[in-house]
Amino acid sequence: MGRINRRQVVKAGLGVIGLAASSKFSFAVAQREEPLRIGVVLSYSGPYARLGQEITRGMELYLERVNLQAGGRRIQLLKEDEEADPAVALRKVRKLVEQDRVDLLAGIILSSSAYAIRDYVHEKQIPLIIANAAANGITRERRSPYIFRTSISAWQQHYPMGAWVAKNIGKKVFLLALDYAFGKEATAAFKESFLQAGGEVVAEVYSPLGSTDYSAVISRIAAARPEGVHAVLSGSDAVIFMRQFTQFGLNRTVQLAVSGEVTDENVLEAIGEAALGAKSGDHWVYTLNNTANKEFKQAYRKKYGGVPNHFAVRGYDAMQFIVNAVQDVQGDVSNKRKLLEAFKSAKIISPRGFVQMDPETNNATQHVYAREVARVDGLLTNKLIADLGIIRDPGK
Amino acid sequence: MALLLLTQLLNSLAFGMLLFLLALGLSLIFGVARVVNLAHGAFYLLGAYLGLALTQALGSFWVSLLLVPLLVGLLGVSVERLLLRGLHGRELEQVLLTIGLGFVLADLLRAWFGASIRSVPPPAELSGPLILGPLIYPKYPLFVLATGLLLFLLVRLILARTPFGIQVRAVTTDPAMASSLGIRPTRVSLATFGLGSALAGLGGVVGAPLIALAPGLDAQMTLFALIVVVVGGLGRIEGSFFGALLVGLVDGFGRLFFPQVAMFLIFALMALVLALRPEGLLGRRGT
Amino acid sequence: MMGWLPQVVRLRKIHPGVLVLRASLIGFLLLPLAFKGYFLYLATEAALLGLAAVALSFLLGHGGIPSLGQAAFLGLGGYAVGLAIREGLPLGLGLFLAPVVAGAYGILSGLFVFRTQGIFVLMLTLAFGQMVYSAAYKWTSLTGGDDGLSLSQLSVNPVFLHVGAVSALAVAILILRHLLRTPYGKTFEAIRQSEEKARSLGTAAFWHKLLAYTVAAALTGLAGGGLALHRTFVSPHDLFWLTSAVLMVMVLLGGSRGLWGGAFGAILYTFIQAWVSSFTELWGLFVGLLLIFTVLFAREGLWPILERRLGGGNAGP
Repeated sequence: MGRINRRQVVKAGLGVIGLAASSKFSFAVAQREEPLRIGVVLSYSGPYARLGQEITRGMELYLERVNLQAGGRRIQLLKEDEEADPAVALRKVRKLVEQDRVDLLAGIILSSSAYAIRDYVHEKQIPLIIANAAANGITRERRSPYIFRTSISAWQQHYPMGAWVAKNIGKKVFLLALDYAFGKEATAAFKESFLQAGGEVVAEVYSPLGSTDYSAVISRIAAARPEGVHAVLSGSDAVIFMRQFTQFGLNRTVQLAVSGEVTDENVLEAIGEAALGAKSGDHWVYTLNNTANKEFKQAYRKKYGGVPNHFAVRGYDAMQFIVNAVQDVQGDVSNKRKLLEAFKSAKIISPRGFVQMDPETNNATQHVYAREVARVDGLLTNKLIADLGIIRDPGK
Repeated sequence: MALLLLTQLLNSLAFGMLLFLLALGLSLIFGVARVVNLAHGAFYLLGAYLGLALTQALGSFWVSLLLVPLLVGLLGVSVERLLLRGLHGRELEQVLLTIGLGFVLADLLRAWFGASIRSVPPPAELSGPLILGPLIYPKYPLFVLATGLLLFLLVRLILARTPFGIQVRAVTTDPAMASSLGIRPTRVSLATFGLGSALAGLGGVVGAPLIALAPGLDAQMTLFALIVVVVGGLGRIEGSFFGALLVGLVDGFGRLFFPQVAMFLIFALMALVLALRPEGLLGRRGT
Repeated sequence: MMGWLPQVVRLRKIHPGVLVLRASLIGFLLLPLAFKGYFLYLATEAALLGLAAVALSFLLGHGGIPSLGQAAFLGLGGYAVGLAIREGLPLGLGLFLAPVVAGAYGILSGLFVFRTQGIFVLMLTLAFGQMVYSAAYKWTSLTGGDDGLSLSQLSVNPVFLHVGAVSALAVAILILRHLLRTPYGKTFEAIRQSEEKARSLGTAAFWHKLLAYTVAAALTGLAGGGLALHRTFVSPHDLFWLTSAVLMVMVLLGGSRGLWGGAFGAILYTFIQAWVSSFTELWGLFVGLLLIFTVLFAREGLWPILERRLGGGNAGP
């Protein structure tokens, strides 16, 4: 047993301190090495399956750009099917939050799903990035500090078209929409600015979802002789309407100035040439001439072939918002206050142009464009006709 | 206004004929095999997708119009032989089996053909409008109308004149008596199932250029076919024919004049008919 | 004159194996209380759907009434609770109204439905169900349309809700079982076996069926009310005929004869579908195959197979 050497004590002391420091360091590293789990809830079955696929494609495309990294952490997407049923969306969100312990939620196609999960997400304080659901109420009377919409509200998308149509298409317009909340909100927004600009609505018709035949409405349109038709349709309804519209020869006498959902690239391929010349309002146009759009289009063509659509853009942007926010907090998503701040003040350069989160409503303020269906680079898509300005949802 | 009504009339009749093709198959299958085939819409969808694929592969709509019903009919025969045969007499189990089959088919079709909406162009000969004076009407719906009428007359002839047709009618009216007369109900059942499925497949090929093609269409068409069969009556082909026309007209004019309640009207019609005349407007009691 | 208590508690007639099996079913439903969270949520959903499935198996397995319109009662119960809450009525009143409203629609539609028989009953119940669906969908000022009805002011303790749901399920089984043992119940079954014979003996088959239908409607309405509390959300989707088809699938899976089968089918379906759906978007394929398999190889449903294996023979309600 020798005397305890001072050097040995100092060494030991340093050793202990070093160990303590390194363990703290390795704990921090361990936390950062743990992947960031994002629960993605979209429709993968049912009538909106294609939309879910496209949004996912956009999300994964953006993640590839950043090498699946954000704030020093690896990103992991956990996908769940909302099955076009709000009760299922709620169930899946609960599973993701309670069983899979996700850090963030993203997606949601149906507005009814968004409403169904709103209280739960708010209560559990899990940030939710809505990449599609368009109901106005989500960022108005039912808004939550934890819910951010990076896509667009029904009002935002359709309000600017009203005035533009009154000026550029005509003052007598026939309104057609699918008979559900989105159809009604979109039509109301269009009417608001259209009537203000001196327009006259010759008829307002709501058609049930999944109609197999639009000839009844088209007959009514022919009889009413409007200058233009504003239609808010999607999916098979859009396809059938557009085809029958041309079949009956109405495209020669009546102009189409419709919702962007009707001329989105994912239905254009089914509608075909019958859509050429149709004008629409949307927050993204294939021919937008900015770097982000060029990169996006190139990446999409390379990975998936075919023409991208605004759903892929929505997925792409949602992921960009998330990645940026996570970068801002350096991967530490446990600090909710900082994370929410990062989302609230987020701005991105999107394929859609400049998009900014509105801190008051948690809805994305963005450009809306008037566009026309045309063949570009040999593809059936939309070309930009006019920029309708930066549109902010009023929040009430 | 008159032009509007005439156009709507033609549309409703064309759609009605499409419903007739479906309902006829369903009605035959029920009449003979006593099975409510809730996978009927899925057979329609299969026919439509196969029609699309074959037309693209072979370059001819007409060839696929001939081939697809044969293929779908074959599937129908296999289903009857392999799955339904053992459940003879157990009506509810048969219905539930067809529900399961419908789910399986629909998902397989979605997996194979994808979830996007498909548009099927009519063949060149039938696209474009027909101009009859002030009336401009597209050719294809007229083709559907003609096909429906032709099939009605053809099947009526088969049922009235051919030995097979007589057997079908016998088994529909009284299976016990039919078998005591030497008719093998199982064979007739098999053939009818095949015929009924083939009709659904035909409906798919014919219907696809008329209405778009997307997942979920199977459930819609099954529902429509059921409504027609209930309204028109089981057991008689006239029932399916006039029932389909009626449903087509109510649907079409309902959408034109009362678009808000069109959906409700169809079901109210169905409920009314069932409540007042349960065997359907032209059906026979006891079927 | 001894009262019905001995009848309800006649355990001696049930094989102990079967009793254990039934107890484990209830036990399985109560297990999630230990785990809380998502597992509990799913179990509550299974218990409530089980209540609806048991009501349907009463109709179908014992009365031979194939109803494809049960979703209407489920939804009516849900909206009754939802609207009651929205109007500020006490929760208890809402839960009372749910079976009342559903039962009323049961009587109303039953008056039409039971004028027909067999497969027409199936189609007519489908039609009446779809009528309620269209009404709920279109009447936006009342129901919120396809946006649904959010019950955000509500917060029910999930444990209470779960225990309540499982109790309701157990009580419903007891009540229905008792009902089946009464003279009414025996007549009801006789009608299923042969309506002609029953009629020739003087029974008013119509009223027997209507009563059963109303009771089943009320129980399903209660289940719907429970679901509204559970999800704090009601949407027209709950009224769509596919929901009725799912209930039928549950009853078939579990077994339509014997009320426990319905509960078992509901649990099986809820958990399996939830599990499969997380793996693949082709969950419809799996459900379809399961259905086909059950029809072909386990015709009476899976529960009776279990009961026979563990109970050795007679497994009644």
